[in-house]
Amino acid sequence: MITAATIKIKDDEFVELKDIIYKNAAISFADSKKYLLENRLSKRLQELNFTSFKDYIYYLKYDAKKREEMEVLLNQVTINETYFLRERAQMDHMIKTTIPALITAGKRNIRIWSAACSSGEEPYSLAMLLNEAGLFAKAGIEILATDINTEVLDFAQKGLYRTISFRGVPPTIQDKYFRKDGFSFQLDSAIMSKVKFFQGNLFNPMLSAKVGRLDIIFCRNVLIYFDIPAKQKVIDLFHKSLNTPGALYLGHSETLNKISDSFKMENFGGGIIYRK
Amino acid sequence: MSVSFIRYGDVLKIMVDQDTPGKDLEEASRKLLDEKGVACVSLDLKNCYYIQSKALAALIAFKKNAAKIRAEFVVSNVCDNVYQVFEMANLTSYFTIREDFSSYPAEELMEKFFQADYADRVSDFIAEHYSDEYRQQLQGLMEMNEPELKYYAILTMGKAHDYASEDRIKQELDSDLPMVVKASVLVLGWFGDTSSKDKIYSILEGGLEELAEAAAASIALLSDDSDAQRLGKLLSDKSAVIRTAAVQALTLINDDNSFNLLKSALDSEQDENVKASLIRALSSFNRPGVSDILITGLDNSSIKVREASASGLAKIKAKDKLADILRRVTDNDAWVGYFAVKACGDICAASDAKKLMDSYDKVDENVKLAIVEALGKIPSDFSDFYMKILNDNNEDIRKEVLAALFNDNKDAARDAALTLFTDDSSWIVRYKALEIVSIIRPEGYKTLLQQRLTAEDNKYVKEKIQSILEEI
Repeated sequence: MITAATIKIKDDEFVELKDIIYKNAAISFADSKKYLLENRLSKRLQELNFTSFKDYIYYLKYDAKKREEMEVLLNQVTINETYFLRERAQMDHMIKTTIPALITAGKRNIRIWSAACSSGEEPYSLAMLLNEAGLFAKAGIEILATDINTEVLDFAQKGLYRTISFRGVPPTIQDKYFRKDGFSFQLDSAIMSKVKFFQGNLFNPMLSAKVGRLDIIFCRNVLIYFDIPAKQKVIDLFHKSLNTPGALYLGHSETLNKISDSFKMENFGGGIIYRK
Repeated sequence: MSVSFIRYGDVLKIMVDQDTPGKDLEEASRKLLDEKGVACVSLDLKNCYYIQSKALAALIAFKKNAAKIRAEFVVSNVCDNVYQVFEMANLTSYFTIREDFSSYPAEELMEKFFQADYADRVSDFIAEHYSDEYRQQLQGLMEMNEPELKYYAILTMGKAHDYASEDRIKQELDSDLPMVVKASVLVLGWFGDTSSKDKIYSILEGGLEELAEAAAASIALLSDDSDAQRLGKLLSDKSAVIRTAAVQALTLINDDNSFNLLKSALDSEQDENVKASLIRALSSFNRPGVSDILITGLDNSSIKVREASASGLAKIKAKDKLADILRRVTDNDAWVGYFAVKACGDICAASDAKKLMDSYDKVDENVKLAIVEALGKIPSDFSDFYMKILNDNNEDIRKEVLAALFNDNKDAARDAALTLFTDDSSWIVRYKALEIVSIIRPEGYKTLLQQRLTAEDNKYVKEKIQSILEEI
């Protein structure tokens, strides 16, 4: 926050607010991340005329619109920057190895889940690469994309991106799939139609039923925000949702070491795949 | 060498390499005892991407030996994998964990601009320790086509007062990347570059929200006598974004002319959000008549405007309107009541407090909380009232009562805190009680903390007890 003054959060307010966030989204904030809440929420507090985080906590607890405000809060704290073709080696591995193996094994319908898709760059990247490899013609491929944050999902469904989302994207891909529109770039509607978005909290017991059985899951750079019990819960959900054989791709800095031994880890050179 | 000691004055930085054998770590921890005149030991794990659990014993030994030489001990630059190991071993609150950007070479630091969690702090750090090397790196970023890198490069040069880069930054006002334009607008405002003012006006008039707010801030910084009038015209623009930005700029200019323009705009403004922002703006002017405007705002049909007015009255501490404010304590809109009570806390005398106490049973929970908080601010002892509601079913009320009691009557607060710390069912109340116990430090409190450390089942309270015991 550069133009709006930052409201400082006191220790007891921080502890209570992080407990509220944890109970609603299982996201853990280490003490060193206090500034992050201050930065992301100060503007919202000022909009509500509040001068302290205590006021805001009471608003979350006692206002008639507390459920709506909880959504606003979670939208603010779950914004994660991403970009097209991020950590591409795993996507290429899926295209070149995992999906061909599934097709060879006789699979005709393949379901992929981008389990915390943020503003949509990941599932759309998968759709573009699948299209480039001609795989949509070889199998019925369905891409599901979920996120807890309703704001980023609205953004994703518009398919309108700023330059910041194209870090490291080859111009050939950008030119082929996007049309410049003022400051933004509009994604090709055929690619957009390949991805089905819906809101999903990874800790909602109903989510498993909503996504159904899957063959491949991408959940990258998300587990780092959870504590160990929460990570175990999410991994358990993934394991139950995956068919056998199934593949799970996590972020480069994420590991299942000491979290779960239900997957078989395989290093493919450019990254790690967890196989069921 | 897998463990190296580097001394900066009374700070000792210990750099640990990946895969350092446990015996080397243990040896280094013993070597620490030979150090003299060290105030802070910083064990830097920047190069450790994972850590084996058997190395943890050596890290604990470092902390113990640092205490023996009376030095503070911190572990710095802990990556996620290592943090996870600390978490599993319940060491995250045992160690003080910090970031120390001085351990990173300039080039590596620049890459952190890509990480939202780090970018602002890295920028602050570079600006504070600005050098030719950093400058060169930032200039390199300016030539790249990476919006985030450019954005932070510009902001960092601005924070470091790098006036030599002004012309280069000015060129970016024409960038087609909004975030780069935003950074340039802000920095040119900080630099006092009046020659860019017209260009910044045109950016504000473009009506893109993220840019309009930055432009408003910079125009205020660059303003002269003519700007209030120019901004005043924008108060009737058809775009609410532009009108809001003009309100922001006039608020920051804060002269008589701006005040009169904002006051007139309030009469004609139809959009409730802009109207609420006008109310907030006017409450930041220390002028006669502001309290009347705010009192009138309390009768507006829009809840947003009413809440902004009540909040404004709390902000300006409108003593002359106390009777009007007290009447609003029982307003139908609980947030108007809440802000009205907040205002009372700052302006009421002890003789007015009875009205607040009498309202207590007639208002919503949030207003009750504000009443307890407000009473705590009035210089008088209301402990009799607090004791009556100390056992309220609402955990927040019990917590607020403890805080207010602590302001008014330390003895009563001590007794209540000791009871609630051990017996209350809500961790929020126990946490507040613990804070009070740790300030009052009644006799035998260390033993009490040690007992509670075992009995307590809430992780936040437990961590707090642990950190207080550490300090002791």
